[in-house]
Amino acid sequence: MTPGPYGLVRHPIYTGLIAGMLVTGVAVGTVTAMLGAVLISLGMWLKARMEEGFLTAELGADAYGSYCRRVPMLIPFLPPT
Amino acid sequence: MVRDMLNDPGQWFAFAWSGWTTTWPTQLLAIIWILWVISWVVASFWSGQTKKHVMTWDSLRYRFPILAGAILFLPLTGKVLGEKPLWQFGNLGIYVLACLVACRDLVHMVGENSSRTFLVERDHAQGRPSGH
Repeated sequence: MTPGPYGLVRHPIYTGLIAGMLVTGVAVGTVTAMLGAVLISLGMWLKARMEEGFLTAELGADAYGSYCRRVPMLIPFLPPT
Repeated sequence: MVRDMLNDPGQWFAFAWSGWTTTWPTQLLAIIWILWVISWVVASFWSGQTKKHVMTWDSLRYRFPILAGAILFLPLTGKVLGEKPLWQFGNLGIYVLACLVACRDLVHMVGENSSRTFLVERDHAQGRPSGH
């Protein structure tokens, strides 16, 4: 069992940051704010993918691979990838 | 204009704090983000030292979109380009969206706390000093 938000997604901090950015972009309603929010989200997703490489090396491919098969990366309740 | 701004630093602040950050209720979103940044900076004084990673060419793959996105996201970019919002949510809509952004802050803080707890427990189990 993985307690807390790490049982829902593997990167809850980035999930929160991306959600906040996208909601703010939509609320402001300008093209630049929404494009900026999408680009920041893309950057966060790339950063999370890169960190998964570090985590696999640090925690071991078996342990972290098993966690990746159980818990989705950024969006809760999606099939894990 | 630039000469005036050099003589009066307050004008730089007025220029940066403009656009949707000055009109209520979208100003509420800016206030929530600023409070989050302040809490993040304050918390960094007592949180564990993070492991430093040197900047690599690989890291530019995520740093570049984040930087470009941050520049576009700034209110002054929209102001300089003379942008108008594509839609208006009205006060109630913005308050609901602001609640979502505030909830996001909560998710972020719980995530940070869980991450710190996990690292302290891991370091304790491995018999090494805490910190990540």
